[in-house]
Amino acid sequence: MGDRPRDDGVARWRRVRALFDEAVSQPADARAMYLAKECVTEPDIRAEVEALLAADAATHRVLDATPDQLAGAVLGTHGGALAEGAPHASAHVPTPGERFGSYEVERELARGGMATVYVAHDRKHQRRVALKVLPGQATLSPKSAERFIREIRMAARLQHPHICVVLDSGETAGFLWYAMPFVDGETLRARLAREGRLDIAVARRILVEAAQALHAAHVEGIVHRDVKPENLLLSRDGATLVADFGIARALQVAEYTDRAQEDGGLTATGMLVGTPAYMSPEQLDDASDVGGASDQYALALVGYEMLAGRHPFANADGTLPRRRSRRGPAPRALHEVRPEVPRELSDAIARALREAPGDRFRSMADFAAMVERGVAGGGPAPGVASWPPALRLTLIVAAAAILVAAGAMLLRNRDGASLPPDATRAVVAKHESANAPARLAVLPFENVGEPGDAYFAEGVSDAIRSSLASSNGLEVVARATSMSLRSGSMIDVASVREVGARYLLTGTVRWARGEARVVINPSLVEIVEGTAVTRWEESITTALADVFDVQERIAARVAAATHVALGLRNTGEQADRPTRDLQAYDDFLAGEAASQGGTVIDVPSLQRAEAKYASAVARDSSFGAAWARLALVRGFLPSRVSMTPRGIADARHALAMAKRFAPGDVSTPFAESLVERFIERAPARALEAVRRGLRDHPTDAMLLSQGAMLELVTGRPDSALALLQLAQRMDPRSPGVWWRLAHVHTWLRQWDAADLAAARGLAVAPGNVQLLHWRVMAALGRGDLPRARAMIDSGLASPAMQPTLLLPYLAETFELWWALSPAQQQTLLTLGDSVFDSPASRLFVRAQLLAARGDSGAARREAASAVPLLRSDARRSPEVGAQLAEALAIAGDRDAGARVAEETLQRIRDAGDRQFGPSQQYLAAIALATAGREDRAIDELVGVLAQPVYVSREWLRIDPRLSVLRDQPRFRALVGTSH
Amino acid sequence: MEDATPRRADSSTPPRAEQVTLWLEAAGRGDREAFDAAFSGVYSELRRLAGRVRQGRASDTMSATALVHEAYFKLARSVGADEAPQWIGRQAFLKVAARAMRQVLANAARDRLTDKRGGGALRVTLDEGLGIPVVSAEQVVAVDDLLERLEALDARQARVVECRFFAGLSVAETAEALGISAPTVQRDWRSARAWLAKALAEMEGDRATTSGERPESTGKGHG
Repeated sequence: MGDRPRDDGVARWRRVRALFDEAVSQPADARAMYLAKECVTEPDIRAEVEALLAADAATHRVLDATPDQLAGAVLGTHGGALAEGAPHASAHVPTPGERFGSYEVERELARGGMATVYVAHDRKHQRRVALKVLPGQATLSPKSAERFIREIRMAARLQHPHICVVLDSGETAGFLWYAMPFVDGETLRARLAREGRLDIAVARRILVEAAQALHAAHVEGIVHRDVKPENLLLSRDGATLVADFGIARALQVAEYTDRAQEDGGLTATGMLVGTPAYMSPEQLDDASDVGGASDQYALALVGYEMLAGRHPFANADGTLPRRRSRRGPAPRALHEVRPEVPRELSDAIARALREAPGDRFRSMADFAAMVERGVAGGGPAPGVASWPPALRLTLIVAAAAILVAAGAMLLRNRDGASLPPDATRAVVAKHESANAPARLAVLPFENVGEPGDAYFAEGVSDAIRSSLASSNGLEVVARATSMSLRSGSMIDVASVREVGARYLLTGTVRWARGEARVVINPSLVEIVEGTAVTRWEESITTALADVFDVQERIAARVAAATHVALGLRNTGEQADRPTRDLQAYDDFLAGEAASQGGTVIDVPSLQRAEAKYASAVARDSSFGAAWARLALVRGFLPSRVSMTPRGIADARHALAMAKRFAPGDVSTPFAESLVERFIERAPARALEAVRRGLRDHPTDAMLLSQGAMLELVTGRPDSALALLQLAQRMDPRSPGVWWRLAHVHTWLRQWDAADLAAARGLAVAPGNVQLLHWRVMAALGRGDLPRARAMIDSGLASPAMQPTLLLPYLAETFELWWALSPAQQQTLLTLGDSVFDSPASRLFVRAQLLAARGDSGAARREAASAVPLLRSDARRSPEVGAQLAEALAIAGDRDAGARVAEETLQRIRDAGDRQFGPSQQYLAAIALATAGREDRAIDELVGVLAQPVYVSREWLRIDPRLSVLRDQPRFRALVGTSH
Repeated sequence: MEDATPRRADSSTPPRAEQVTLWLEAAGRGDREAFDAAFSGVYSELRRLAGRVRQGRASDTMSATALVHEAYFKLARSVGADEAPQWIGRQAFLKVAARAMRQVLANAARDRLTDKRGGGALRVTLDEGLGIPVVSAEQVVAVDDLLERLEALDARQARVVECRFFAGLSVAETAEALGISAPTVQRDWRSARAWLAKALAEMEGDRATTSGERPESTGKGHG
């Protein structure tokens, strides 16, 4: 071994280091072996490396001291606080590769005065997190740590697409820490440092998203207290996330010494109990006097800084103010500092920066609304006012009842004893029970029989839910929301709390087909301080013939156990069994599973459900519930596909039977409104049907949503919004309500609100194509094609999303095929008829796509094939008429295309549909453009822009179907690109 | 103006911030003399701040990191708004400041040891009631001494320790200050830390074997 190092310090150290570096990169148990192999002839070197490895593995109280402790030691700056020491002062700071609780530290991300941020791997959940570790504190008493963690847990329950949630928190070896999702992106501070001031649209969006997040927190009673650019994370896909919710308060209650108070804007990761540069006047006065208005002030300062490129109270040299006096001159108006800032945006920020909290916006939502569209929000919900007085009262009372119920849940003193299961005591309980109804969610019962019987288990829970729904004093959480409270055999307690349910009814169902028996094990659970306490459970075995008795017994026992007795009216309804025919009931349940209780609108699901309901009523023609559902799906179908005369007659018949056998079923008025809307084309009568239905079912979220859609049809988007907000309160986790909200916001061109609604829906239903579609629409409405594409990509990346459902849906619904990436467009071209709404629809999509790609020969052929199919379908809706016009133009018959487009426009005017009229008009305008009638196309575009619809100037700028108009001066003037 | 720049700091009066920034600029270009001059400037500023902390005039406790940032702020502020963002290579500043911070802390620790009765023997325990010393001034001096030895073995590692340990800079800041990559900083720090830990343990061991020569600590009574 000629290369043995000379006995020279430097060379020896080099050798030792090389071995050490290599050894630490290996697993701990492999190191000894490695060294033994490497150092055969160098026992002294090996001993030294081993000693270093031992030192490496151990914590060192000096070398691992925090800078604070070090300075404390030599400068005597422990400020007295450290002397009040607690037993668990450890100076050990996590280092990469090390385990910290259940986290494995990957690398240090950033370090500030108050915290060090690590990228860590959460071993328990197999995910990447950002781990913020506060410096070890000798002062940290167990009580402080407990307060800190408790406070963080309060904030951890916040759930919002623009809140960077706290996943976990704790105290390990004297270090307080908390974990957040790892966000791939940067802080707003970093962005500002790099770009100075931001683009107005970008700044506006960041402001709106942050304001929405803060609003959601304020509603929950949580004030951030430390809004600043360091705490706004900008993810790589363009979303803003507000981080460190509740941390400032947590540090305060933990009496954590705040060392970085004077740190100004320097420590990107510093967490301060308020940062002087971003404190509101009232916060500067008294740090405990902090409310939502303080967050508003701080966010407005951030907004000012984004738009002006400097903090309004910056020092002359541009640095952040490190101390601020309580009163100072108002900052210079933003539109003076930067003239292109719109006046209303400048005014919104100025108002949020008023010195007196009462002079600012009433809520963060109002601030967001003003920033977004320059009109002050607020005032009572406009829509409710336009409904008939009786219903208006019902709506308001219903909303109030929910609030009272929620309040009662918090206030009522819980009786710790187990509840009486027997009927006698239930009667007593009836008198004892408070007026406030308790909220109960019936979770889907778990099927423990044959896998194919899952629908049966689901149906049992649905039946129980509907039999309980009309109980007095009991409020039953709607189906869609109930479904989302359980995943597998786990109950999502956080969601249960969000929904406000006090009781959960769940259980298992086993259908022993061979023995014609059903075994049901229901269990009633009360949520007490976040944990589930079983109140009652039992096993019921019954012959299948008595399945309805089983339901009644379960419902009765549940009612007793929840201190709520069933009202007489309810009992009467219960005696009215849906059907005596078990096979019919089986078919009905299969239909329910296919239509997900009447909440899906895609054609294949609707058709499957229709077949099942139809066979149920074929066996028992007096099966009212099945008729009601059948009418419902038959009412939905014509909104998406062409109906044969026979189909139309069937729909009318189903509705008539539903009215006869199930007049009280909530599906009946819903179905009636659909039939009136899509078959009879009488929106006013459709609205009337909804209103009638709401008299009996004032809190039904689906009816409220349908009412909202009809308000949109009749040109009252504000009323639509109010109804949907009510529906959303009734059924906060229903994807159907969320996408309708997104729809209405889109029609109002409130892109951020639309996007938010859809995003919140997606959080509940990650695979819902409608919701993703609305997010894409919102991005396009802003003229942001890359964002739209990123949305689609992220949707496709989600395992819950089916590409063969998503791509055709996007291409067919408002014709968004052009928002797909070239590769996705290619995929779309390979898909067959079965995934499209109809063969005509597929051919039409292909024709447009091929034309856009410049393959005019193939486009002509596809368009020519589509023409006869579309022509036969054109009566269904002016939308098809516009498609026919476009197809004719693409096929080369421009005159015919123009003629059909004009006829279609006349039909649109006649129909007076304010919901889809403008979007149909837009398609007709596109057809006119394709047919070479540029001037006429522009006339119509002017009209489209004047109505509530998704089309905006920004949209017109990026829509490739209008490329022929790009050079027209009128078009350029219209979209604002002429100068 | 460049010609008028004094090349050496007068140790009795702190140099003006503008001068320090000019030295830092020159140091950033590799001017060794300017580095020394800038060092003196930053050092005196840090010492002044540290003194203020020690005399209890700062409102709160202050860490080494906070001191370094405070010094940076003061220098940055003096240059004027327009130039503030690019007034000086932050890199040059951090490198100078890390060295200066080490000096401030080591000198303060030495002062503290000689100030106290019993000479170098008194341990400054942060939580004396429990008898668990966290960091002592003695240990800070020991690390400073050991760093001289490490510097002879690998100068870059000594710089990394200055940045990480004395100035409390993050891995990223250290990498920026020294113009090396973050993984290099991490590797350098890890082995240097192990080396220092081992050397400190050996020193303690030496002292333990010769404890008879050590005057009795006045703090022992608490144990």
